[in-house]
Amino acid sequence: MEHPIFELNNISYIYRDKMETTPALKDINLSIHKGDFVALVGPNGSGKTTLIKLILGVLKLQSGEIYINGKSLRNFHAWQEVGYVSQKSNSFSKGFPATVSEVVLSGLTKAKGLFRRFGKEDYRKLDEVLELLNISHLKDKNISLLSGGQTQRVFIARALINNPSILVLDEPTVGIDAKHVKEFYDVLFRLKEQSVTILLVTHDIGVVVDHADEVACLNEHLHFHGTNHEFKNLGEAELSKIYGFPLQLVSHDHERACCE
Amino acid sequence: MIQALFEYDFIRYSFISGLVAGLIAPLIGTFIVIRRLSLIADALSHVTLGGITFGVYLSSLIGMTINPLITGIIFSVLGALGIERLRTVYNHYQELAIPIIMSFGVALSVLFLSLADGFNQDLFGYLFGSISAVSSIDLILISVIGVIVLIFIYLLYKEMFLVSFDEEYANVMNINKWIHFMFIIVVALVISASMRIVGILLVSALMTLPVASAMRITSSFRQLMVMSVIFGEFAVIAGLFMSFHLDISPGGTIVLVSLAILAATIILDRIGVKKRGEPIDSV
Repeated sequence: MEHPIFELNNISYIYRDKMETTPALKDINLSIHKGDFVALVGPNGSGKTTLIKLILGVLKLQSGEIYINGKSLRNFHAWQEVGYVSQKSNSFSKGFPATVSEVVLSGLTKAKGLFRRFGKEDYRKLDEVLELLNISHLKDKNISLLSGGQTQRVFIARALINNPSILVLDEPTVGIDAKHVKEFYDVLFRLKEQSVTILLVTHDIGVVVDHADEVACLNEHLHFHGTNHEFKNLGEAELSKIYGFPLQLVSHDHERACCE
Repeated sequence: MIQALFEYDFIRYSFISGLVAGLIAPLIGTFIVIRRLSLIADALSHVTLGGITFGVYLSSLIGMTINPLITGIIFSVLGALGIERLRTVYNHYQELAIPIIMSFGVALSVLFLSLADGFNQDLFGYLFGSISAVSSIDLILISVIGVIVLIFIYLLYKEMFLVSFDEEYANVMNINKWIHFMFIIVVALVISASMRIVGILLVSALMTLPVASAMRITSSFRQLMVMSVIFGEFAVIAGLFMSFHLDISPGGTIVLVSLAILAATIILDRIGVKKRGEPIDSV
């Protein structure tokens, strides 16, 4: 039987300061299978980014186990198979003296291995991924001159250049206009057709319920994990309980929005 | 000076050492500046001074000459390790490591200076650079360090770029664990190699000023490295010539030339002769 791509067993995490402790996650159990497009939603401070950091090994596990492709996270080394777009991608690069090409190529660093330099094949991959995201014309531009939407596409290109089988995106559409959000989801659909497993963290639940196959709803605990249809059928009371404030999903001609 | 280059070994040693420093200091300085670690160079240079004074003191103590550059290199590397350790101890206040190590370096220097006698003349050369103090052993050490730095950058360029540009992503890709450690050791070596020509107090300037100048007129990382080296080499060559003819310490002239280049690039940038191109439409 095929292993889940991600298998999380009893994950708990507590942030500890000198004087106080803040629980971020409690007893999270979650399985994500190959080719799934899962949206991880929840209010601010619900532990979404903490969970992503644990999955990616940026934070150390305190309790529980995480398996990637059947391998314990502690023994998983094939990080080149994982593409990652961080929440901060949109803001931290300002002023950095690098071109779009240099930034996107850096996504191949792990796969290329130590002491090896980029060659013709790598530049071919660069051209392909820039084409895929419609940013070929920005190839030689300085990254700090791009708009928010363009910058975000550059970081998505960096995550995709290595043809990852797993894609983890932490609120990648923040600050991007509606047109580019649509383009972004079009790219995700094309990747999904190629059996790429996608884990998308987002606040934008109105949009993801129409795009993702599954929704996982987090607020310290995993309150819900099911198909997008099941999520749509959650009652107002249940959603409000998860989010901690009154909430309902409103549908507008096939599009649904999240309203307080 | 060109005639003197052929006539006197010590001038030739200084010139070649200067060329090596003009190459490796801005090269490694590129990563220091963009990672916002400029002050680390200052901290390590002060620790290097502690090592040099220790070497002189040790020589006077045991009655045998020990090359202070060697003790300087050892202290510099130990200081680099200390900074790394303190950065993990003060995880949320990592910059605290710099004043702690810097004050430690100055304190050691004062201690060994007080203990060692007859060091004042040499001290001036170590603080501000000297055109006559580079020995053949120094030149060999500096050249070896130069080769180590070039190999480090050639082989680990892509890793260094990623760690500098996006430390979090580098962490996710699991390539950050030891690169930074090696980098800080290389910084310590570059400081040791450059301080004979530029002087302890000005060595960080040779690592940062050419990069600061190049940043005004370049748009890619590779261009930044190339222009930083060109500015660094120009400053060293012009500074050494001025130092020779005016009979003053090369550290001051090299840094003043670097500052003139910086002023010129800022003016060029202001008047629009800059690379960064036109603002891009959000299409």
